Amino acid sequence: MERKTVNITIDGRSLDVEEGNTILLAAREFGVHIPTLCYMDHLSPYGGCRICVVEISNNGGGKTFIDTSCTHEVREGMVIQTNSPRIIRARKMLAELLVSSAPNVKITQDIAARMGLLKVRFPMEDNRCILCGLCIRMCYEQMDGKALGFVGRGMGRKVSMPFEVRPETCRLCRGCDYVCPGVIIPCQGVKEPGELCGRCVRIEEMPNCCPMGTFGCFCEQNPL
Amino acid sequence: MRKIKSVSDLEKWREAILEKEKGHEFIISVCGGTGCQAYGCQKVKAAFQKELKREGMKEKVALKITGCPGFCERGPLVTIYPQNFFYQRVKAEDVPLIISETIQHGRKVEHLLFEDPMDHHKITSSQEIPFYRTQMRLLLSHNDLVDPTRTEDYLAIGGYGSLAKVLFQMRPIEVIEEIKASGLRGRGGAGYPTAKKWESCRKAPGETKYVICNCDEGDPGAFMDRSLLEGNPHSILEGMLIGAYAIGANEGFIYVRQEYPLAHKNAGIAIKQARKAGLLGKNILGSGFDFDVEMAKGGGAFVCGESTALIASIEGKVGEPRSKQTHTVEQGLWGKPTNLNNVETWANVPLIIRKGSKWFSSIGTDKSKGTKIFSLVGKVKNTGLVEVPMGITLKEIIFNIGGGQQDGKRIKAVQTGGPSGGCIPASLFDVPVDFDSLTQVGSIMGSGGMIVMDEGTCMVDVAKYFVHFLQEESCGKCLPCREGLKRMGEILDRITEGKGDEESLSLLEELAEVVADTSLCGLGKTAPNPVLSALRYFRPEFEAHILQKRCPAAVCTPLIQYSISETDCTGCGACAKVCPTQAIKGEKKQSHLILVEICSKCGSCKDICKSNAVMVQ
Amino acid sequence: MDFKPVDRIVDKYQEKRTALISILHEIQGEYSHLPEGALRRVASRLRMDLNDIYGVATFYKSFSLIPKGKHSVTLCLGTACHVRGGPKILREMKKLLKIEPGQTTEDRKFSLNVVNCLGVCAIGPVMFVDGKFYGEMNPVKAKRIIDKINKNNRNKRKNGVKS
Repeated sequence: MERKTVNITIDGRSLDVEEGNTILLAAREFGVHIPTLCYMDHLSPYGGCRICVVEISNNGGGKTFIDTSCTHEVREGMVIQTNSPRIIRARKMLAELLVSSAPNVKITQDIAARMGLLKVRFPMEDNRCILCGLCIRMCYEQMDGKALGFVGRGMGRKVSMPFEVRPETCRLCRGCDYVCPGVIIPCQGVKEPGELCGRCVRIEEMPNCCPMGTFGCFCEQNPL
Repeated sequence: MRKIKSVSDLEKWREAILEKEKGHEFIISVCGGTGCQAYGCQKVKAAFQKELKREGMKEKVALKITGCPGFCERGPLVTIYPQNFFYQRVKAEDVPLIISETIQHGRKVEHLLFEDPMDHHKITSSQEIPFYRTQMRLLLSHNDLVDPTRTEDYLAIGGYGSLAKVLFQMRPIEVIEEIKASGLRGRGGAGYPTAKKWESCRKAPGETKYVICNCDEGDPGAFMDRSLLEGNPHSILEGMLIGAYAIGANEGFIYVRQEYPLAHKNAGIAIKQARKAGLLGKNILGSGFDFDVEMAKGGGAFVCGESTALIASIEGKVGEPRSKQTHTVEQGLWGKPTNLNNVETWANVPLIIRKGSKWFSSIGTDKSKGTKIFSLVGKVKNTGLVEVPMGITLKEIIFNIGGGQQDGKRIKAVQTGGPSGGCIPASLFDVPVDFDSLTQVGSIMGSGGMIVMDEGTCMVDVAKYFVHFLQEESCGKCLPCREGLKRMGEILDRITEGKGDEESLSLLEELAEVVADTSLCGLGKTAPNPVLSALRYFRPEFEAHILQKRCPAAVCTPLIQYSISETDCTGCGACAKVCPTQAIKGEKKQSHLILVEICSKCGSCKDICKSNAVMVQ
Repeated sequence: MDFKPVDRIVDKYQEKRTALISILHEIQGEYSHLPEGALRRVASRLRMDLNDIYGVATFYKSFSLIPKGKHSVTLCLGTACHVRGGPKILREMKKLLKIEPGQTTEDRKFSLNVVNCLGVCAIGPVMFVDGKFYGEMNPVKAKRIIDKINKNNRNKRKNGVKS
């Protein structure tokens, strides 16, 4: 079956991509890799972390706007820049905000390293949850658990189960734990020659961000 | 309440109402808006009811509790027709005098009339009061005449005549053309051309469509929409009916924020009465057009003023905005094409249909037609609602209508557009008030809040205030708004505590750029505006806080010190009595002293000192 | 828990999702907060996920999951009230009631709230206490209102009226 395509320009290259695709996926097909954090294949795009932003012009004219590539759909004639100076500045600052909020989460350090961030000018906190929402989307969309959700708003927003009690619909499938980027602790580096710190595989040191860990549902039963 | 089944039914009812009104020799109109309620208008109303009953005048004198006439500073407000005597600051005790003097003898009650601040002469009717003289009260004037809980009052001023015209003399496309020709732009803040929005919604594929009235009005300092919906809800219903007909929608919602109980109540009453009369429901006026409206309530979230968040809220979800690549006119409520407009926008629609697009477009400027209602508040003498033609200058609004400065301090800026807007310094007060001119000077029209600030206002404190406000109201979904505003707030906190350094301002500006660029919705995208405009026009104040650890406006508590002037102090001791930390020492009739170490800087001493001897710097 | 009031309210709004916020407001009016049982009942009556109801109850500022005080004291911190001295009144209220905004006094008598605009800006600073609006407030006037409520309660107790 013939799929309809549209012609777009990404970083100067003219490409024919499938209609209905998001910019992120269309770009990936052609080897253009846009960094992401809260996006995961097979889960609906969320557009919360804003790391995957790109600069877009609808018809190649002068006026551009910025939007997340994981949610924005391609349209005929779109001109997209994935690494313009404005985008690079934005990603670097977003990385700085992330790291200052959650420095002990491996993925924020990875993103900061990727953006070339060397200095964090904000007072450091030690959050373990980066509010990416992957656990919630996994629970709702793939595992049909409907047990997790966002509560509160703004700076007080957090992930929780209703009334902080594990509901009957939670089957302890651990899908949330599987997708959570915060569960992985950064490596502490080489200790003795040939030895790694091994923190990422030691479950007893799992940080307190994962909803399961917080409610102690399964950590007593060591899954490994 | 009659049941209206045709245009001739409507006209017959209207005639009957006007005939009945002729039987009234006098109309006493008491403002029942929330502002006057706070000033005790209920007691005034009860007093009138009692007096009129006692004097046996209930037949010849009509007592109306109306919507807000706008001059809230002077409430409770009472107007007597047909003489058009405008009484302000009326108390229940004044009522017997009004009855005996004005009603029975046609004489004015002098002490209730407005006194001109310049030459102290008494002014009789509102049109001559400086506050009202240059206004063009196309919408608000109806508030004076209409009791919002009586459909008959709305009919008496020609209500639902525009609807009749539209349903029987115009096709939907012609209605859109008329609104287009009028040049009406949205009054909610963005100023998007209304007809264009209606057209896009009309063209969107789908059978089921919705119209929504946005009365979330979260901008602090703005209360125009509250007064319109409280005071004349039928005008909004009529506007929505006309819009729904033009777009092809049969259902509508009026979303009122939770903090406006009276607006919610009055709109609900109007809907019930309109349904009873057959002006809402099936086959309206016999035209074959069906339309009905439901009320929806906010829960206390500024972000729900944003259209996608508002729609999510109506759907029973949290008020989280979504990407607007596909606009709400194509996919809105329950995924259907939805047209959302502000209260004031809807209220303008029946007016345009009745008097024509040519008349409407003759008011205002080239690209901003018609009038706009502003809430003029803050450090200005005459606070209240003002309705003026677009193009009038800020100077005219603040000085001619507003009466200029209050308590002897020079006015230094005005804030427009709420947390999405910016401050405009006094040097630019010749700017005409219209959508594009305000954007050019770094602010926006916004919903109409106009907050006047004087030398006693610290612009750094104002920037800090807005950032903290937005932090509270952010939905928290996207990183730049949630974390970026938090960090901006921290920097501003440090600056106002005297802990800022040379990098603070550049870091603030860097953050501002990224928050504006990458935020998901309008709240985050425009959040940096108040900070950036304060920096643009009042950078020296920021630098004073950082480099000299000084607050020029004497507001930021960590940087100020209270002291008593020896020469002015009379030694009355009032300050020492009211000081919560007993930080003031002094003998009777001798100059008092403030002990700086225990002073909590609450300012009570300054408030109570009659000799103006307390100084802050 | 007696669900009759909850069912009555849900029936009044014909189980409409578009009325969720109104439903929750009326439930809160009935129980002075949103009890867990009531929220579970609403979720089942409206056929919505408990998660979503809990999310709504914690997102909007006007809802409280913990019981509120008998007297509700709401301060407006809108821009107009702010430039006219609103923060000073807040400081005074915090000192007087010894609680932060969003909290209730230990004796459950007063709840202190701040709101970002009550829409009565022309007569700011504004306070909303027990359903009544008070304009042109200052710390001294605000204290007087609280003192008056306390005095009324004492008088009621003295006269044997249950307060």
